[in-house]
Amino acid sequence: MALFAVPAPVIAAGSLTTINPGLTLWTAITFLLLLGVLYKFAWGPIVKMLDDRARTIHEAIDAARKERAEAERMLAEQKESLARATREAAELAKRNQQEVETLRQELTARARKEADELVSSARKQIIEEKSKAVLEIRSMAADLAIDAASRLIKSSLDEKAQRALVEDYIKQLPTGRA
Amino acid sequence: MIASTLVTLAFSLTLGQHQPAPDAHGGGHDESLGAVMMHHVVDGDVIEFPGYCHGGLAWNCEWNVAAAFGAAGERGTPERAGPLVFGAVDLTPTKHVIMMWLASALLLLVVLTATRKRSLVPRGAYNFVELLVAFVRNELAVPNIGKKDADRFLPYLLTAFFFILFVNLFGLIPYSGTATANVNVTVCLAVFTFLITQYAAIKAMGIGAYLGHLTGGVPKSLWPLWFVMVPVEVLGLFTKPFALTVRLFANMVAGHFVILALLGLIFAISVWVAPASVALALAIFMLELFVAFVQAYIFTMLSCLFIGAGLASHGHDEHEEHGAASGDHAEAHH
Repeated sequence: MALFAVPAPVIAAGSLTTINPGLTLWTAITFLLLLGVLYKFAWGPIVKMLDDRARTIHEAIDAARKERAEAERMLAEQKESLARATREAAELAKRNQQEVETLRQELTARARKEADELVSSARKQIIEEKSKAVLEIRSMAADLAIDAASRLIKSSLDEKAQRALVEDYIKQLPTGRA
Repeated sequence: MIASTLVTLAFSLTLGQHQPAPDAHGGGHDESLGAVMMHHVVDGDVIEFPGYCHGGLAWNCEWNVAAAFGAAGERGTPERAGPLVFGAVDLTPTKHVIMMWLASALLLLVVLTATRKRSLVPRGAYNFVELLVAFVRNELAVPNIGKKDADRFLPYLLTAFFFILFVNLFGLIPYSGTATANVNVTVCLAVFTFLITQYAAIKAMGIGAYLGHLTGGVPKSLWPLWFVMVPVEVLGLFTKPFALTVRLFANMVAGHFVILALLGLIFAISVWVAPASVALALAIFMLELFVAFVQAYIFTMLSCLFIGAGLASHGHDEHEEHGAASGDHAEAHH
């Protein structure tokens, strides 16, 4: 304490370098009290809050990054499945078109064949009918002619000779369409 | 801010006008301008304040702190007596003690109120307090001390920063006093930093290596040199807190002196210099607001630096020949 026994005049003059151990002690007491109170009620909670915030932000960033990656993955998946669906639809459409085309061609061909068959059978039938008719007409004409002729010339000719005559005549007639 | 500064200056001016008054009335003490300036900066038993006294409103009401605490007689003289006087240590509060308490109360009020409203998304006053806390932690403590140890010393560093800042700023209020412009206050803070630095150093390298480090790395074979090195190293230990003490104290005193001197020009020369004086004093006052932050920053930063150096000093090249124990520590640390 002898150190603090500064000559009185210095103190009395209120010099800048006045040594006052009481003040130093009060500073120490005040400072330590402040340190204790602020440590417990301010610095501790604030530092904890800073750490909490840093951690929260880190977590948020990590979560966001993860979610983004997940979203990107899902987007890629979606895109992929969409592309696949489009491709499948296109394929299906193409196949359908082909099938329809084949079916159409088939049907057309069958219809044409049936029509052709119908036409040709009809033609054959017509020809048959025609030749039958021609034959009938021929015989009928012969009969009519004979009948007519026999009625006209019943007396002069026997039936046999007349027939031969008429048939000869008919043979000379042009064949083909009546 | 500017408005309040002007009010402050108006007060200072009135105060300044008042001060030389006892001269005219033939007052008892030294009335030179220098003495008036000194009176504003140094500690004392009396606090002046504007209020109702001497039978009316007055600028110079006085509260005798020493008398309030039951002390009588001139401080530092054998006649001094009181319940808080213990021999050479006179614990009777002075003006600066009261100012320090008021600043500390304000600090508690501001910081604790702000801290109550803390949230993950900071707002308002808490945001500002947290900004300073984060600044001290991220810009001062972590780079100088290291991420691992920074949080251990953070409560001290933060308290020192805020204490110095609030006492500095409080001293800029008219009629208050700047406790940090008192060497007795700054020496206490410097001693705390010194003790923490030594604690950090001893904790980091062990008491043996710590004492060995005081030889300045001179090997045992050259032991006579220790008689030179040990005093030098011990002196080196104390220069750091000494520098801390004087830097803070001198800066705060100087700022107040400059403002007072500029205003004093009005009385020393002529009232016509008042516009220039006030303008300059205003500028210096603003600078002082900044200096209040800067000095708090510097004190805290240097404390961090010393603590960091204390923690790391056993890794220095000059100490590598200290022996196995020290060497092991160095390796463990790196």
